[in-house]
Amino acid sequence: MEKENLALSPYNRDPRVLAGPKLPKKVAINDVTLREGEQTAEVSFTLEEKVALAHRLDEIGVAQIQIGWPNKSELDREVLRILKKEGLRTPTQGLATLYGQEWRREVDTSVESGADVVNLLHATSDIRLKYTEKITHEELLAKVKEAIRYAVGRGPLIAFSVVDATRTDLDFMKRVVEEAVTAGAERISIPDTAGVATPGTMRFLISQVTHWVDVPVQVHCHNDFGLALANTLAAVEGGASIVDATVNGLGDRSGNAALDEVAVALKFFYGVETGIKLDGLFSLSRYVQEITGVPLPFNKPLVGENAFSHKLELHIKRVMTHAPLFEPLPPESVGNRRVFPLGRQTGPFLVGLKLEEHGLGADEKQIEAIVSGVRRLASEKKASLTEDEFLNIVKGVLD
Amino acid sequence: MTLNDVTLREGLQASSRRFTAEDKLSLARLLQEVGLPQIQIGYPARSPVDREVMARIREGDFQIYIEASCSAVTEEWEKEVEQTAKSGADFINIIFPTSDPRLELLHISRKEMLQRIDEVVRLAKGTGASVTFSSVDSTRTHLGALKEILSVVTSAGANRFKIVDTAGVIYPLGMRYLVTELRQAATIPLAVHCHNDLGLALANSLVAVECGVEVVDVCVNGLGKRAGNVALDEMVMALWLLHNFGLSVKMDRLYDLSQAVAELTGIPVSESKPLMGRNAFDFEVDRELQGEKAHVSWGAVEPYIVGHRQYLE
Repeated sequence: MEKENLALSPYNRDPRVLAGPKLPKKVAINDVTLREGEQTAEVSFTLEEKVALAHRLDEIGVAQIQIGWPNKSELDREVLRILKKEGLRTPTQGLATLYGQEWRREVDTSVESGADVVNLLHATSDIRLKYTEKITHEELLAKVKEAIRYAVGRGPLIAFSVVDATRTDLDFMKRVVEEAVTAGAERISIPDTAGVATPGTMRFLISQVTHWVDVPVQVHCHNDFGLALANTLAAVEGGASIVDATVNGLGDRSGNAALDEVAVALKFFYGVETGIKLDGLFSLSRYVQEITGVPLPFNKPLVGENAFSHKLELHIKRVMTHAPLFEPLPPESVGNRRVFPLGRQTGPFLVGLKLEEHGLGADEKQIEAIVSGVRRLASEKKASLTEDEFLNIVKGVLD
Repeated sequence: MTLNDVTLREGLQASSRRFTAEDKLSLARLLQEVGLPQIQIGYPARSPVDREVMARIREGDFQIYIEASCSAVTEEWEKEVEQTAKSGADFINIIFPTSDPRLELLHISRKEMLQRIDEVVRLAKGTGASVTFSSVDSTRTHLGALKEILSVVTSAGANRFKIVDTAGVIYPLGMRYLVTELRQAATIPLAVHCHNDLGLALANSLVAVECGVEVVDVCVNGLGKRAGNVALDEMVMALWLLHNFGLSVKMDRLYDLSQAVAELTGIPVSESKPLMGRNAFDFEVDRELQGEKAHVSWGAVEPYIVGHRQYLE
C-alpha cells in the first residue's frame, strides 16, 4: 500500500532516531495462538479448529506455527500428523519441557512428532530453580547439555528456550545459552515468562545474547503490564529475528503480543518486513474471536470495532476528506473499515451520509427530525443504534 | 512527575451513554479518593453540564486540581477563554493544532497560528489561572516549529506545554528523540497525551517520562477516542513496579475505580486487560510443579496490590 496514505510521525524514521538500533530487514513471526491461545482462560480448540486455524495462519503469511505440546497432548500429535499429510507449507513447532526425570520421553515424542522445529524448555531463574524446579545451577547446565545432544540430529531443528529469562541472573544465563548452542541448539528463545520486563530490559537482554552466540534469537513477551508489544519491538531493536505473537493478543493471563500490532508496527515504524498479508488481519481476528469465544477488547487497536470509529460531527466531516489527519493508517490496510456510530452525538451531516448510503433523500426539516429521533433512542438505549433502528426512525419521519 | 486523569472527558466520550453532572461529580470524588492529583473536566465554555460540575466542585471540599479545556481555533476564542476561567479551572488547557496538514485544513498560516496562540495564552494567563498549552498533532509537527511554539507560549506565560500524539502515530524511539529535544529547549514542564492506535500509548508515555516529561494524561481502563488512551492503572503499576517510581495514587483502589468506570460507561473491562481483567492473574500452572511461593515464582504481581476483588474472595 502507498506511503501517501499514511500520516505517521516523521520522527520515527529520522536518521538520528534510527542511528541506534541495527535492524534486520526481515523478522520472522512465530504464531503461538494454537498453544498460548489455549492457555487463555476458558479457551480450548477442537482438532478441526486447530487444523483450520493452522491453515489460516499459513495463508496470512506467518513464518512458523507453534502447534503445542506433542508429548502432553494426543490431539497436538494428531494435528501435526494431519498438517504433515496435507503438506502445510509453513514450518510447525512443538514444545518439550525438560523438567523432572521423564524428559527423555518428552524429547522422544517431540522429535518424532513431525514438527519441523522443537523448542526444549527449562526455567533458569533462581526463584524458579529454588521453589519450583528444585535443582542447582550445575545440575541444570548438565541437563541442558545432555538433553540438547539427545535431541539434535533426529529431524527437527532444535531450539532452546530460557524460560523466565527476564528474572535470570545474567552471568548464569550466559552459561546456559553458551552451553545450549555448543550442545547443538540452533536457536535461542528468550521469553519474558512472567511478563515483568521493560522494553529497555528486552533490548538489553537480547543484545547481550546476540553477543554471546551466533544463532538467531527468538523472543516471547507477555502483557501483564501492557508492554508485550513494546517489549517485542525493543527485542527486535536488540537483535531478535524471530518474535512470538498471537492472534488478538490471546495467551495466558493478559496474553501475548498481538499478531496484527506486531506486524503493523514492525512494518510502519521500523521498515521491517514480516511476510504478513496485513489486509487479511481483520478477518483472521474475527475468525479467531469466533472459534475461541473471546471477544476483542472495546478499544483493541487496528482490528478492533472502534479502532477507526468517529463520533463527533466535526471529525466525521474531516475524516471524509482528510482521513490521514485523524487516523494513523487507512482501515483497509488491515482489512478493517471506518465506522460512524449513530448515537447521542449524531448530527445532520452523519444522517445525510447514512441516507445517501441507503439511496434515500430527505429535506432539512426531515433530517432534523431524524437527528432528534436518533439522539432520543440512543439516550434511552444507552448505546448506539443498529442500522435497522436507524431505518425505522427514517421510515417514521419520511412516511 | 504527576498524572492528569482525562476520564471525565475522553473516557466518557467513548461511551454511548449520556452523563449527568451528578455522574461526573461522583467519578471526580472517586478519582480524588484514589489519589489522583489532577483531573480534566471537559469544555465548560461549551457544556452546561461541565459548568455545573465545575461549580459544584468549587463549592464542595475538593482538593484536586482541575484542568478545563478551551479551543483557541474559533473566532469566539476570547469568550471561550473568559468562560473557561470563570468556571474556576486551576489549569486552562489551550488547544491548538500545530502540524502543517492541520493548519492547512483550517486555512491558517503558521504566522497566524503563532500570533493567535500568543494572544490566547496571554489572555488565559491574565485571568489568574495556570495555563497548559496543548499542541494538537505535535508528533506530526516539525521540530523547529514545535520549538518556536514552545518559545512563544512560554513567553506568553504558559505554565506547561503538552505534547499530543493525536492520531497515535509515534513509537518509543521517535518519542524519545522528540521529548529529549523539547526537554532541552523548554524552561517549563512538559506534559504528554498519547493515543493507542498502534498499541503503544503506554510505552510512548513511559519513554516520555524517562526523557523528562512531568505530566502524563491517563484514562481509566484506557478508554478514549478510537483505540483509547493510556490506561491509568497500567501507567501507575509500570512506573511503580518497573521503574521504581511511586505516585500518590492508592494502588489497592485501582480495581474498584476500574469497575466503577466500567459500570458508569457501560463499557466492560476486557477479560485479558492487564492488572484489572478477570484473567489477569490466572496462571495456568501445572499442578505438580506448584511449590511454595508458586504465585510469584510464576508471575510477579499479587492481586491484592491492585485490590483485585475477584482474586481476593
